[in-house]
Amino acid sequence: MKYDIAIIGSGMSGLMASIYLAEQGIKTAVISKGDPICSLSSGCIDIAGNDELTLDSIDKFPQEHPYKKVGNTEIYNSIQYFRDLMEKQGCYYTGDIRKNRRILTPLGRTRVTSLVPFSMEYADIKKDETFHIISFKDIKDFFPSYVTGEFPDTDISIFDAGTYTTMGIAAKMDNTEFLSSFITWINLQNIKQGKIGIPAVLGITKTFKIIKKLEKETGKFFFEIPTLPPSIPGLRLYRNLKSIAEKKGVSFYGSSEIIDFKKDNDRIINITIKKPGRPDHVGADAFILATGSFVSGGLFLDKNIFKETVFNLPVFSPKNEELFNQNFFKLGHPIEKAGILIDNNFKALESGYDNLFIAGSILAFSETMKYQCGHGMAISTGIAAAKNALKFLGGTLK
Amino acid sequence: MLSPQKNAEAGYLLIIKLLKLLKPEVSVPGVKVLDKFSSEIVEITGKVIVNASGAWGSQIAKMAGSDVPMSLSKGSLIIANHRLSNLVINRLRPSSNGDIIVPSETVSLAGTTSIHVNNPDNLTTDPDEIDLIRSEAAMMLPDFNNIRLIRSYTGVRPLLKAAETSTGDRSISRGFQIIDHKNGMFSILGGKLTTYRLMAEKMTDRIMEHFNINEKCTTADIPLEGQEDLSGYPVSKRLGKLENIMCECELVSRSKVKKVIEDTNTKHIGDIQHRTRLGMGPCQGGFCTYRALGMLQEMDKVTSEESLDTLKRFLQRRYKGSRPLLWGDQLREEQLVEGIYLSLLGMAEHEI
Repeated sequence: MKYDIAIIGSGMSGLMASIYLAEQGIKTAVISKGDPICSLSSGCIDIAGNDELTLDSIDKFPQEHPYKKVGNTEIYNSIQYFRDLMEKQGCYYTGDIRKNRRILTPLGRTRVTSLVPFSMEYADIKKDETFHIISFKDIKDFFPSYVTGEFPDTDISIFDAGTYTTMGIAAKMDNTEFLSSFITWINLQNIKQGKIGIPAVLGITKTFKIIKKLEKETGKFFFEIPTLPPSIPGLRLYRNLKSIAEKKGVSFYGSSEIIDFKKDNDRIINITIKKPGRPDHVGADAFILATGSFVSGGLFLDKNIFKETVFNLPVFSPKNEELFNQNFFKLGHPIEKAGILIDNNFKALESGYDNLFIAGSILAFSETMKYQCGHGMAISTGIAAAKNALKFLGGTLK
Repeated sequence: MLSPQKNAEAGYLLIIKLLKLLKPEVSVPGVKVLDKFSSEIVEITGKVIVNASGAWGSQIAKMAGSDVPMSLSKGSLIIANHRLSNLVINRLRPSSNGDIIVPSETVSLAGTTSIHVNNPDNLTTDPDEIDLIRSEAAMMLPDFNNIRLIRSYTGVRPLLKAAETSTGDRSISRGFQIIDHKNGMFSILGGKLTTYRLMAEKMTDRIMEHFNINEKCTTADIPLEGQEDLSGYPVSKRLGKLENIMCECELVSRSKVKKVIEDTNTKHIGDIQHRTRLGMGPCQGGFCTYRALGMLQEMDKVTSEESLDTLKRFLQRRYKGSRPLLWGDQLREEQLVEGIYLSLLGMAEHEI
């Protein structure tokens, strides 16, 4: 098959790029090896830093950071674009792109993020606030006692869902009868507090309806607390974005490992996907590489050698410093600087390819842990790479 | 291992640091210790004090007034995430670096090294040691060139120094020695893991002699409590009953963890790990430690504050063991675990 643009990687940056391009009438394909790391995330959109303001802290980021190539206006616009898309999909995000907020974690602490899914709208807990916790019998990835340790006035009610994984409980919540019995049980608990925290299991596909029904029939406000992976809000984020892309006509090649590619002078012509029997070739006029960092498999450290796993691009790596901190709790190991260096058009430096654009956490100096900019950086560089690829296509079509 | 035998009155304090010996000159000695778990300082006295502190043995013997020359030899091992052989594989040559591969349940260990150190505290595995063990082990099993390594660890051999040692620590005897400090205090020094039960037996016999009691140590014939059904708990058996798994890597169920906590009354995550292998697989406790500590809270063994404290210390120790091996798939695992604890759970330390 031949496309205008082929995107490699179905994480936040790849999916956002694909949606943007499909909306512009571009024939777009997304090729991915597996589910992305964003499906394991909390579903919240971290934009920048730990301070009160997000875009203002980007001003303090080093000049090499990919955000600097996007610019604050475009960062704002692309995250707003993401937000509009998700709202139309029926899963709105709440918060102010310019500001950070603190939400409750399963350890009873708070973490900084910016936009949160509607299911966490009430998760900004103040230190002296009282709320109630509903948990589930033998659930393996949520232990309310961590939370009540920090908030001693909090009471816990335990519901027996008949299963103990977050995925299992969330799937049951999508069932109307199960939800009704859950609501009946809540109303028998005589809960005094107006706010109820609950591990993030309120449905996989019907979360909005579930929360509305819970609010209506119990008179309480509910907020989800993201659990250890598999984290359902992250899964919802991924599935919703993918569904938006599919609706806009993006073609998906899932479970597709790229084993080879063909080039013609300074152009990549097509890529080869591993398949039982005859391999598949996907051709395109331009390519966007959005395969992520080490954890996602876009980068690979082979003992001492840094590798980019699809096109064997040159990888920038930090020199003359230890790659890893001594302290586990200190954010940002120097190895996080490793990645692909780009020019102002989001093309890889010294790659030799004119039609290859790079987006997301595979970018050098993105340091998403250190700067707490994961999804925000992925969204904005995804859109920026897409815009540059589009500009390039316009140039070649003329 | 640490549960007292039935009908015996015994107690134990773990994770403590000896601050000083109390009046070693009088007949009833004692120790002043810091409980690192609760930060309390405790004084313990008894008719007999036994110094069985391994690599720290000569330091403490010195506090009691005896100078025992000991040589401390650091040895490191690496752990591969597969069981690569069913038998121990050992190079047939004079004892040297990296000449043994030992299968242990689901994993294989390879080691060791021998590096002379002066202080047994705060030792880490050097990257050079890992390269050395890896290449030596790969001569016996080439898989070691490419296998995913999940952990490294380092221990110290407390070797008793003979009068003259010119051939290095490898040639020093692994024998042990009991010293009577003549003030109610004994030191047992030297030895190694394979002789520790014999050392305990000899020490017990010596104490009986001190009290003029004509009894011999009997533990050689008595199985340690809790060992009967837990040893021989291979993964194949675990597969038979896959219900509510707490540790996916080692297939440890919630009920098994609960049973260990009930049987031993422990509040230490290490006791659960040693008995079930919880947290010893490829993710190195990245998921299950949080869960097991949650269970300890639910069973009222620890407070949430204590478990957060334990979790922090566990994560740092875990990281110390995997830091020298962070490449390939183990690096991916590490970034995932970092994402969970530092970002999702909000445990990062912020500089600003």
